[in-house]
Amino acid sequence: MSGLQNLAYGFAQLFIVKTLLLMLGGVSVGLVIGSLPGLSATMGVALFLPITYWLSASDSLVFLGSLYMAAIYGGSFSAILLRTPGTPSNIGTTFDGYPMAKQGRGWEAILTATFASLYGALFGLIMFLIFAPMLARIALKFGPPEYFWLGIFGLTVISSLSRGNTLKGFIGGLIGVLLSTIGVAPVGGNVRFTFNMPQLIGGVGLIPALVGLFCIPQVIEMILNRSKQQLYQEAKVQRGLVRKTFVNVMKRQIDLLRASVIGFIIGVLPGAGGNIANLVAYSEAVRASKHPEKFGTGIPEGVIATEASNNAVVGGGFVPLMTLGVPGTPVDAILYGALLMQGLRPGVELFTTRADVVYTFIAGVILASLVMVPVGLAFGRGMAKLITKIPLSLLAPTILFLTMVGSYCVSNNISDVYMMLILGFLGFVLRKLGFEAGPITLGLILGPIIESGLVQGLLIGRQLTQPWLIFITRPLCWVFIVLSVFFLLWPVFLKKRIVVSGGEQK
Amino acid sequence: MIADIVVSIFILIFSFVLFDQTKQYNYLSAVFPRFLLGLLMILSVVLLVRAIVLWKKRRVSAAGSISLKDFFYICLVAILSFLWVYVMDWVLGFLLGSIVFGIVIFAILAGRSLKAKQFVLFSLGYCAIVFIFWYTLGRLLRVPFPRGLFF
Repeated sequence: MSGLQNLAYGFAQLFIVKTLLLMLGGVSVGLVIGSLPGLSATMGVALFLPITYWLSASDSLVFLGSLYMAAIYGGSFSAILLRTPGTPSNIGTTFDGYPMAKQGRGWEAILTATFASLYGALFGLIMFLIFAPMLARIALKFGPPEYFWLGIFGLTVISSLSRGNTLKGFIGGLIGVLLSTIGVAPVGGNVRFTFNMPQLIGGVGLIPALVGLFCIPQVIEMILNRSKQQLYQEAKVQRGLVRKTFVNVMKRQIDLLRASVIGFIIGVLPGAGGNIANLVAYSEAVRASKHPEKFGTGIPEGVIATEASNNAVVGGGFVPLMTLGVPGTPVDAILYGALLMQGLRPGVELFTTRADVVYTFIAGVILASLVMVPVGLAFGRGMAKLITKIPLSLLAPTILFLTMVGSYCVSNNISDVYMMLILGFLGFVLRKLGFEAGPITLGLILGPIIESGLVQGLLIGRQLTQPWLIFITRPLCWVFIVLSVFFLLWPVFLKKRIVVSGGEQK
Repeated sequence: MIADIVVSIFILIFSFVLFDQTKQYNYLSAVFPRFLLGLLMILSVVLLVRAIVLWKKRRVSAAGSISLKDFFYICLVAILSFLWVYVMDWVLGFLLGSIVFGIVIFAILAGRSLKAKQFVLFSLGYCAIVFIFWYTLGRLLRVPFPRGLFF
C-alpha cells in the first residue's frame, strides 16, 4: 500500500468507538498533566505507558501520542496563567504569555498559544509523513556497522544537546549505556555485572528505568516545593476574540514557519526535545524581529515562537523513532518502550511491515491535535485554576502510587518496583550532581543498538585483514561519522545561539 | 566542584572494578563493555581535572543545596516508599498498603498547613484513585496485584 492509502486506513481505524474514546481520553489526561506544573509530558507518558499494556498496538500508541501532544499544549496554560511552565517545553511561553495575562490579555495569550500549537503540531506531523518514508528506504540499506555508528551518532547528539554541562551529558549517556549491559550479553552469552543478584540477570527493565528516572525526581521536587503557593492570573473570556486572534496568528506565517521548522529539526535530532526547541525558536524570533526590545513585555510573537516549535518537535521526534529505532526526544524513548511492550521492534521493519500501526498512530495524533483545541479552550482555564487548589503534598504520594502501579504492571514483578525506586532516587542524586535523566535513558536505549552493531560488525569483518576496518570502509558509515563530529562541535555553536531572554527570567 | 571531584573519583574506581570483571567474560561479551568503560574512565579523568582546576580558581558552582529539613523529608519518603513496597508485598496487600502509606506520606508532607476537613477530603480523593486502579486493573483486567495477608 502507498503512504496515502495507509494514512486513509489509519483515519478509518479512528472511527472505531474504542480508539476514538482512547484518543479523547489521551487528550484529556494530557491536558491535565500538561497543566500541572511539575508533571512533564515525559512523566505523563511514562506513568500511563504500562496501563496501555492491555490495549492493541495501535490503540496504545494513539492514546499515548494524544496524551503527549495534549500535554505539550496543556503546559502553556500554567505558563500563561501561573508563570510556571507546565512542561519544560513551555519555559519560553512564560516570557511573553504571563505578561500578557497580567495586562488582562490572558485569553488572547491562550488563544495565540492554541492556534500556534495546532499549526506546529500539524506541520510536524505532515513533515513526518513526507520525510519518514524516505528515511525508511535509506535505512533498509543499513547493516550492523551503520547501526553501530547510528548509535554513536545518537549518543553524541543526546550528550551535546543535554541541558547544562556537556561533559556530564556524555558521562550520563555512557552511564545509561553501561546500565544496558547488565545481564546476559546479546552475542557472547556471558552474564555481566550482576554481582550475583539473580534479579539482574534479565537486565535493567526499560519501563521501570524510564518511570523511575523521570517520575521519582519529580516527586522529590514536589517534596521540596510542598509549601509553595501558585499565583493565578485570571483569563476572562472575551467574545469575538477567537476569530480575531486566529486571523492575527495566521497572518504571521513567517514566524509560524520559522518556529515550526526549528521545532521539527530539533525533534529529529536524537536526544533534543521541546525544552531546547522552544528556547531556540524564541531566541530566533527575537533575532529576526524588527522590535526585539518588545519581547518579554507581553507580545504574541513570543508565544507563537515557543508554542509552534514545541508542538512541531512531536512530529520531528517520530521520524528517527519510527524509521531508525532511535528516539528523538525523551518522550519518544518512552514510546520506544511502548512499542517493545507491544512486541514491535521500532525501526525500519516496523515502518515497512507494520505500516498499519504507524499510520493509525499518526492519524490518531493528527486528529488529537485538532480535538485538543476545543477541549483545551473549554476546560484549560478551569483546569489551571483547579490545579492551584491541589496541594503538592497530596500530588507526591499519588504520583508515587502511580509509578508503583506502572512499574509493577509490565511483568507483574515486585522487583521491578524496587528497581524503579532505586533508579529513581539515584536519578535524583545524579540530577543534583548535574547528570540529567534524558541522556541516561537514551543511553539505556541506544546501548543494545551500539553493542549489537559493534559485535556483529566485528564478526562480519573477520573476512577483512583487520575486522574493525568494516566500520570505516562503508559509505553510509561515513555519513554518521561526519554527523557525529559535527554534533560534537554543536554545543559551541549552540551556546552562542540560545539567548534566554524575557522579563525577570533574564 | 568538590562534588564533581568525588563523583569522578567514584566513577573511576567503579569503572576499574567493572573492567576487572570483564576479564572473566569471553571476547564477544567483553569487547563492548571494555570499550565503554575505557571511554567512561577517560571522561571521568577529564571531569576530575576540570573540577580541580575550577576548584583552585575558587569558582564555586551555583548548584542548589538542600536544607537539612528537606533532606530529612526526602530520606523519610524514600524509606517509607521502600517500606510501602515491602509491606504491600508481604502484609497489607496492594489496596490496603497503598491507602495506608499514601495517606501517611500525605500527612507527613502536609504537616499543619491543611485543615482537618481538607485533609479528610483529599485523603478520600486519594483513596478513590487507589480503589479505581485496584478495581480496574486487579478485578477487571486480572492483574495479579500483591495480596498480602488480607486481600
